[in-house]
Amino acid sequence: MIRINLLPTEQRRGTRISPKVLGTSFGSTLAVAASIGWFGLVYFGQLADLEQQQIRVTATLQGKQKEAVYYDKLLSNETDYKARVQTIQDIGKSRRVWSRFMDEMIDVVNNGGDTERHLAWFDSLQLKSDPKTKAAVVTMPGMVQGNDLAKVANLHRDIEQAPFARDLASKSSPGGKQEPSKDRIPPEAFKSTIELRFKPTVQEAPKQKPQPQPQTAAQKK
Amino acid sequence: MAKLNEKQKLMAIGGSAFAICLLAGGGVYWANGLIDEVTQSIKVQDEAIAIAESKIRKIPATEKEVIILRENLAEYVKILPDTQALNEFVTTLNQFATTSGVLTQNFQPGKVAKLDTKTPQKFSKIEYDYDMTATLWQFLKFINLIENYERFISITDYSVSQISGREAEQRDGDQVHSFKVKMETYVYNAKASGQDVEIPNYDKRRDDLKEEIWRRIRTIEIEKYEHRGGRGRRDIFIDPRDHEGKPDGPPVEEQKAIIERFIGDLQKLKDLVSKRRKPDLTIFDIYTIDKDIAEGVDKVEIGAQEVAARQQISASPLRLRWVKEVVEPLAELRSARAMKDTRTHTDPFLSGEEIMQLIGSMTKLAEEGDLEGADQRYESVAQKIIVPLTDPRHDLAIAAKAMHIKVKTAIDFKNLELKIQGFIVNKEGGRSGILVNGSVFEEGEYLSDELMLRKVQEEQVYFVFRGLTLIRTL
Repeated sequence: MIRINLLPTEQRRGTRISPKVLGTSFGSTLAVAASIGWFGLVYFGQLADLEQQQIRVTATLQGKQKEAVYYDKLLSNETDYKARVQTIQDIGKSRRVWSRFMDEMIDVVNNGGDTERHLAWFDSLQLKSDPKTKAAVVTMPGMVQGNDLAKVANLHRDIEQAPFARDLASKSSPGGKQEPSKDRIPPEAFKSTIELRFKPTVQEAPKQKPQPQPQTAAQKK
Repeated sequence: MAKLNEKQKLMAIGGSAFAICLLAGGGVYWANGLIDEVTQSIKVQDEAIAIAESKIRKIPATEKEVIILRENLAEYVKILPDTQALNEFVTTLNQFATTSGVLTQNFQPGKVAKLDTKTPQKFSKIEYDYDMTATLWQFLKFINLIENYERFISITDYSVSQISGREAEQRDGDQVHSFKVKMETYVYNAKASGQDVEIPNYDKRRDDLKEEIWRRIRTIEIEKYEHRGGRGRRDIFIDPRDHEGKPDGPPVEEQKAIIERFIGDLQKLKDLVSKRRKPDLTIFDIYTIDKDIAEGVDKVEIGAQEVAARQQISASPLRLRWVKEVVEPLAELRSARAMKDTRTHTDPFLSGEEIMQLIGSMTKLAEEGDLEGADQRYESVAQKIIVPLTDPRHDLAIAAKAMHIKVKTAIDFKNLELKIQGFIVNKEGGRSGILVNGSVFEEGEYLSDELMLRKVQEEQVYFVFRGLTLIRTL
């Protein structure tokens, strides 16, 4: 007996998709769909959201950046002005008013006309200032009339009480050598030099210690 | 193409699916990488935004600070000359030399040096050497002018030395010395400055901050000092002792006596000034005291000028005393007077109230018989009541003058030599009469051109003198 298979070729048992293949295909399809879906979620979901967020943030930043740059320029101006103002203030503070010192020194030496306490005069005066710190030294060789050393001490005491004395760092000590005059009355007088050292008006910035240099291989040897 | 068996099919399907899954997994991994990048970028941008916002918050305060500093700096740099102002500075130095009287011997500018500061390119230092001859007072005036100059100049070194021998000279009676001065100034180079940021509404905000700007500007005020000249002090670079055999000026005791005399005169003037301050003084007392003070000050001043011209105070210590105890108090009195004069010059006349007070006072004194007192009161303010016609006080001034004429007339009448030796009072209607200086006059008769006998009563006689009826009591 002839058996005739009337089923179409693709539906015949020998050519029909086996359940294994079908199952595998189904499983594969699911896995592919899931993985593509996952990718889609990540790429078109999370990443797209973040990119949108980034666009917004970039726009916001651009908006603020203009003002921030303006602030930076302001800050740069401020720093620059402060440095310049500081320089001018330093210049202003560095000056000592020497006409005031001279006036006060003349007052001390004149002593309101009281010659009993001391009667002094000077041969010369020399003032020298340090160019950087403005610390000044005044040197005055001179005489104090009489043969009483107490008068020399009185003059020094009055100098120490003078208004300019608060700016003094140090002063020479009283002393002198008797040098009588041949043509003056009274002839006796003590010759001595008064030295006044004024405090600096500019504070020097502390010098930074040099950083230790890393030793080279040759130095190590 | 050969048909695939089942195993091959399974392998192909599974392999393809695996490959696709792997690709998708790779895609996810790549996308996650992108996500990380974007997240990181967002984080960075968020931080940048936070920083920017923090900066933005600081903008108002920084703008305020920049405006204040910019305005301050514009003021501050005025004290430093720019390159062009250096020529002007040298001209000014020359003016100072002329004003103070110093004679320039040498003037040399030094090298321009950059300043050792945070902003070295903006400031340069220039030194000058200045040699001169001058008296101590001329030199002090010169350096004081320099130190008080609007531009910043610092004197760094100087020396004073005596000039001896033939070159020694005197100016204004003081010994000339040799002075060497080193001074420095700073030049501000505005071109080296950075670009200023444009601040919106700058002018308005600057105006709003005016007080704060002014307050800060004051913190840089350069110290100044007003030198007031020699004031009788001796030159400390001169030996004050007398030369043997040739004392300077009159004896010291005589010089002391001169000073004491002047101090006594000044004390009297000071007493008058104190008296003038008393609250119970009338305007007339004040004018009298003012007159005495003015005359006294003039007298003492003339005397002091004579003493100075004759160089009667030559002893160094006494010269200082002379200045402190005579010249300066005299100058104070003089300036106090000058101040008062400027005040009174604004209205040279008495006020209406004062004129009324004058009239009342003169009337009272006249009624009390103190005609001289009334006359003096008027004379003390006579110049202050010559009020112009247009002034509303004119009528009052005329009344005061009329009162004064009456007083003067009464004084003149009082001074007339009228010796009344007898009188007849006719009560029956006939004319009464008097016997004056040996002559008989009846009522209505003139004793002289200005004097008429008007009426005679038992106790008093009425005269008409220069149109004014006056009574002489018998």
